[in-house]
Amino acid sequence: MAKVELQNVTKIYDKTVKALDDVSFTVNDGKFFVLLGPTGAGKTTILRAVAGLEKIENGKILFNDEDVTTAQPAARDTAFVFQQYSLYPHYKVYDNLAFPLRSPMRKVSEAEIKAKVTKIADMLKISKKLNNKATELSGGEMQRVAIGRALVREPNIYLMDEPLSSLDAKLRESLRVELKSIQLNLGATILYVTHDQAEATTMADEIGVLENGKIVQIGSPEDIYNKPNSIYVANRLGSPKINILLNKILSDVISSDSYQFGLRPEHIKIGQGELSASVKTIESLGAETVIVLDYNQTEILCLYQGAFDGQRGQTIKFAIDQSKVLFFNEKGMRLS
Amino acid sequence: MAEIEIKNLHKSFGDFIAVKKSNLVIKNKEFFVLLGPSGCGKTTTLRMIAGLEFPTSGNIYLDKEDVGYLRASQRDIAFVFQLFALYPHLNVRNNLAFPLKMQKFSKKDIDTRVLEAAKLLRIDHLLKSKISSLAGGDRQRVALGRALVRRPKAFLMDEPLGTLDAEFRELMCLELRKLHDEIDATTVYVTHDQQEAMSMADRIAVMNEGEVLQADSPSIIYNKPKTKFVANFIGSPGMNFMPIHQKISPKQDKVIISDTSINIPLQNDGTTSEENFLGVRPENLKLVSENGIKGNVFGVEYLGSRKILTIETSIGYVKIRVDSDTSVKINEQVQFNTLNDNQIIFDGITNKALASEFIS
Repeated sequence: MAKVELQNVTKIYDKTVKALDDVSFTVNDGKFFVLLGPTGAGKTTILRAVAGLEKIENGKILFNDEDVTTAQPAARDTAFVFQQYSLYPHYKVYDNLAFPLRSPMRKVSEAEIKAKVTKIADMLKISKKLNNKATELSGGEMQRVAIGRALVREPNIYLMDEPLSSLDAKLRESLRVELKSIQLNLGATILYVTHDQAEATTMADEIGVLENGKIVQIGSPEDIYNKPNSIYVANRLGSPKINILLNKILSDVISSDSYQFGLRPEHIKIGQGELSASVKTIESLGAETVIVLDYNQTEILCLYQGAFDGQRGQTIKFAIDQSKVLFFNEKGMRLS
Repeated sequence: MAEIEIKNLHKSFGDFIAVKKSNLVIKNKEFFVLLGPSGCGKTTTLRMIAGLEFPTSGNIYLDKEDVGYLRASQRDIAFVFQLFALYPHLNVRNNLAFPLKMQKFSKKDIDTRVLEAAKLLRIDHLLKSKISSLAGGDRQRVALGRALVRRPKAFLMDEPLGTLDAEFRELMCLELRKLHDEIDATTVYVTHDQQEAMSMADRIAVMNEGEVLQADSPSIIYNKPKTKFVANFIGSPGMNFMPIHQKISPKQDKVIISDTSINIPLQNDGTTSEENFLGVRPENLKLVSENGIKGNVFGVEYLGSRKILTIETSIGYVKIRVDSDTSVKINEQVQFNTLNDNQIIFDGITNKALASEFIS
């Protein structure tokens, strides 16, 4: 596998629309890199540019320090997994998995193919389905095969475009853990794009946060969550969302010369401290409860561990974990 | 506005039974969610309530009136689909007015109702905009608005947020719930996403294979699931099931799992089955330094305010929810035990929860 580097990549559509704006990042060999952003941020365009399916107007793309910016897709040797699994319906699972290896360009022996297909099928827990036709599989199994079809090869990099987003929530959750474990075991280099923050924080070694074709922050999941560069980034991670409040709202408690501050819902301690507010809504999520407080007409979202034994309209005490407060200037950039 | 009751509702398509003799009462002003995996019968149930599908047998009552075999247009119900079916060449105002024009309302009535719905959804500044110029969320609001202008007795929604970005979905969940409260509507909402259900519903009916397994408030469904299926389907991740290789007797308060003694709530019921399961939520387990069930860390999932550990043990994978500052490495050996007695024993044959001090 390879180290993949993008240097100042810019992609312009119709001469005016900047789909990618000076994008630079490095996916180190054997690492899981996730691009996180909403629809239209440029995630898929980056993947396509790396694969060579999209020409770029400016910048360089390097594989192991070698410039591949103008290389054809075949010469780049990447493996793509799409959101919509596209399997050969008339083939058995085995033959779907073997297909990329049987390309005349690769000259892999059938014995070798068998060894690889068996190993990958085992990892993806589809060994028992190898003789099934692709049409006889459930959605989750089909996506496993689609991922497996990429994994049988050892390309420079695996490019994955929201491969889990068409699956049921439950299935998505279990495949997340499995995919991460497989990546670690294979030492695979993966560039993965998603709009789902849970997929990003649970699988990534590094996350690149995208906003309108620009990378606005790169870092480990913990760094991005705890030290976001801006309000935009702070809002991308965390469920429920971070509270962004003007300084004056809690000026008695939080003293700073910043303009506004961010307070994650789990850093508000309900039932402790000196501040008081009324409970506006209580939403039980099972393991935790989301409570909206009304503090002098400002809504503050809090995350309470376990079941909350209280009533709407009730007045309660709360405290703020001061060490966790994030400060931002008027433009929404974080002050250190 | 409306109470909806379904009685012995049954629907088959040839040999396939989509909905099996189901019973439900959806109360007036309730936000009611039908939840289950694909193919569980939730959409078929909703379509029968709407009148888009007729039952094979059984009844549907809308405010005590039997409407089960009336056509959709004869029921005072509005349906919001997963994909926003809007008229792209019409502006927002005309999209909203469309259902009223079809019903031959006067121009004055149409104007009043369109403005009212648009204000409620905060799209009144967009009335003259073309649909194609709108962002996804505003389109979704227009789709909702088109249901709203009819002032129906009930709203039926089939995964209306299914196609949206995760982040945006969260926002729309809040808005939908607010809207429901503001207009005092009765809403029946179909989804496969348990988190959506938990965060919006007054009550949830969990369905599987055409059957309603349990209909209760989110917290009861979460804490006191009646079957293994419900326990696993609800929660992110779902409940852990640890095999117990022994019969359970009334008054029992301990079980042995993987050579470790685990406290359980005092049991009221026993089993005939010798293979049973201890159901434990990931947050009701904790890492310990001794006397725990041993395993290797297979996965560490960082989720900001928490981490989910997947532990590989002799009894299979077990998920534990820990604080996000807990430092654990993949392949590290750990031990864990229960944090409290909020555990449920599931009968290995019936897959149903046994009654105990914790769950009746």
